[in-house]
Amino acid sequence: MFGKKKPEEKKRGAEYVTEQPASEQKPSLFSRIARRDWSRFRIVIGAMLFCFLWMVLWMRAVYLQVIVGSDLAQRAQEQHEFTEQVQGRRGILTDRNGQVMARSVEAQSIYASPGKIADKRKVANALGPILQIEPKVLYERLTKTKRHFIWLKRKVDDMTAANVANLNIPGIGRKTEYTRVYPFKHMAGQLLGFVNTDGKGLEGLERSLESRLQSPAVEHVVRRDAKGKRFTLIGHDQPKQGEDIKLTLDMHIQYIAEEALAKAVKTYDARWGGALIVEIKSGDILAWAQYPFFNPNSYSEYGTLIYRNRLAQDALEPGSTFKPLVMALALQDRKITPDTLINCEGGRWSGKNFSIRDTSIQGTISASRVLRYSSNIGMAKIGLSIGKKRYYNYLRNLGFGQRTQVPVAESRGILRTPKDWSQVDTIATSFGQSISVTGLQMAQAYLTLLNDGVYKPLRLIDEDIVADIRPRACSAQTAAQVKAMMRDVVEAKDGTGRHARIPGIEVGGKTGTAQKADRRSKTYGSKRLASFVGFLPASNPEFLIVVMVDEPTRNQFGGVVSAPVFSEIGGKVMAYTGHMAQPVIPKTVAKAEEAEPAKSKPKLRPLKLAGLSPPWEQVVEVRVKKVAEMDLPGKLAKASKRVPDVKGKSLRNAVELFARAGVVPEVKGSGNLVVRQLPAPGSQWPEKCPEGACVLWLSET
Amino acid sequence: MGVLSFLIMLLVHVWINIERVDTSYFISRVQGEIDQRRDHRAKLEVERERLLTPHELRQKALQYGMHEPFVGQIRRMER
Repeated sequence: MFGKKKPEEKKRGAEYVTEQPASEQKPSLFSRIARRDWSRFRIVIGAMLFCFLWMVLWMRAVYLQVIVGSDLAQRAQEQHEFTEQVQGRRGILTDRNGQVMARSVEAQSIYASPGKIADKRKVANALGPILQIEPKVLYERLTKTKRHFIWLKRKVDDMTAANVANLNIPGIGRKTEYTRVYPFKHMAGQLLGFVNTDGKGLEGLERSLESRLQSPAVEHVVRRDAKGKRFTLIGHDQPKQGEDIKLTLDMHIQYIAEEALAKAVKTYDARWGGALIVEIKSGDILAWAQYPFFNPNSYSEYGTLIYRNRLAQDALEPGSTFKPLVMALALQDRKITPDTLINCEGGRWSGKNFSIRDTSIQGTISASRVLRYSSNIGMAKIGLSIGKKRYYNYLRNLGFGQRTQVPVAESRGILRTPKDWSQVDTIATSFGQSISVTGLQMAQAYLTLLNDGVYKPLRLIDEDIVADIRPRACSAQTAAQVKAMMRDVVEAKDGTGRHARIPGIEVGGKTGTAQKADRRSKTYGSKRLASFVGFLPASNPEFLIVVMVDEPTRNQFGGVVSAPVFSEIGGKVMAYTGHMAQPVIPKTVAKAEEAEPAKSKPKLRPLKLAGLSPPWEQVVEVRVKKVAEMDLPGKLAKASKRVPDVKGKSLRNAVELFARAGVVPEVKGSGNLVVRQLPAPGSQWPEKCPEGACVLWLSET
Repeated sequence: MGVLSFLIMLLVHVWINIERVDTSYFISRVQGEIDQRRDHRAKLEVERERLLTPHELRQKALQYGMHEPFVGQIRRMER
């Protein structure tokens, strides 16, 4: 309006100046005001107003940016930016084949900010059933705290976390954490150990390898918008992941060992059992089995007695399994030869301060038979022939009285210095008493012996280790002599380790039945440690197996309790590793019943402690059904209704013909041609094919 | 001309800033997705390991009427 009027007024003004001169007509004040040009005034006012506002804005800007700028910037930063601790993934533990034994996966933890919860009772009732917490307990936790943040439940499963998220309750939140999962459950549980809720290793390898497995927490600065939604404008490095570690264990061999061990412990109602399997060529520990089982996934349900890694931490008097080591020393120092005659005093020998009795009554026998019959008297005499200092140094060289190079928390055992040895100590040490060793130390000592006396460290982690420098314990010839003696212990008709035999393969070993000291009476009580240390094959040892069964009750002898465990493990390990085609039929339980039939139901002491059932108990309830879709060799071919005549046919052809009918025959003998068969040709196929019902005999039997 | 250039640069600056924030949201979202998938994969791997345990395999074998081989049933074929 103002702009439009302006040119018109100017025009009229110009006309007035030309038509009516100022000297002729004097205008009134009113007309002068009315006719005055206000446009300039308006422009000036407008400009001033604009400048004023502009100044105000600038002043405000200066105030915000300069005067209170730093404070406001800090407040903004506090509101938008926050620092969070980011923990990387903890390292993975795998077995030698890459199967995951321990792994961290993300899990949600549920927390509450009690101050932000309007109706705590309602929240407690809604959340309680989901989190499996009594609503009353939950309500008390929410109301009785003054804290702004409380954990409701840590590391819940995905389903629970999703259910909590669906409720969308203000004041209830979820935080992502890592939880440790052990997919093999109880397998090698005591060795693996466990971590606490904060992911810190508390026991076993989780603890001893903590520095390598853990991931250091990193602080990240992140921003969030007005709605609290996170976004990042600041680049930051990902947290360093924990180191993945490959163990030397083989989970299938571990399973074999645990199964056999658990059966023996249960059968003999023993307190505890442990077994180690070592590959002699590499020193790799293939299995580290202990029973009662411990499941690290739910470690809080167990006590220290169960999750204690006793194979490494408990030092026990080994008993007769120690004898071959002493024998090696005596042979090495030429104190005896395998044929040296030793008087075993008819099974009873008394001295000034000692009295020794043997379980088998022997007169004068050769040194090799001393080992075969496990004569304490014979070994005592051999031990006395060795000087104390030499004896001590030799045992140190074998690794006793010191920790192994295996990265687990372990005991040094008890090996006193020679100055503290009395004559009785020397005698007792010769048959494995008066000295305390761990199962791991025994494995290390026998590994050295079987490695021709040269120290080779046990390996639990699949990586190169620098072996300690130790003097050679004995010569290869001495080691061979001891191995031959140990072979006789098992393979000779009258050896104490007969139950350790494995059909089709020669093995060597030594039984042990150690008396256990009674803490109260401070003397040897009635409890025993039944053990067996063996290797196989005897001619060229591949595997070393140490079996220990603590405080068996129904029978206490290592040759009866532990030797069958060795046999079962050894046979299956040889079949699994392809060294032998014929696994032995498990005889652990059968032998036990043969030794001493049960009059009453076993007490299942360790099972109660562990709260676990051995796996095969569950197996009984599984209904066996034959599934039609099972793929067998030659499944596409039509099976004959009656048993075909396969005599004279090749093994491959015969097996295929049987397989068409869904029958896998046993094969006896060797060669390629079938000479005899069961079931007979033309007979009906049996519905089931138990052992011995379907057999093919080959040409070379 | 100078004022015009200044205004254009100001606009570009604002536009870049908005894009930067937008991209940050996108990165955060995609990073979250990656983490989620990685975690899911880890869980699946753990489950696979559980199913491959000797105990589980034995249970499955029994369901299908299979058992450990008797003496003489293992034959290793020469390559």
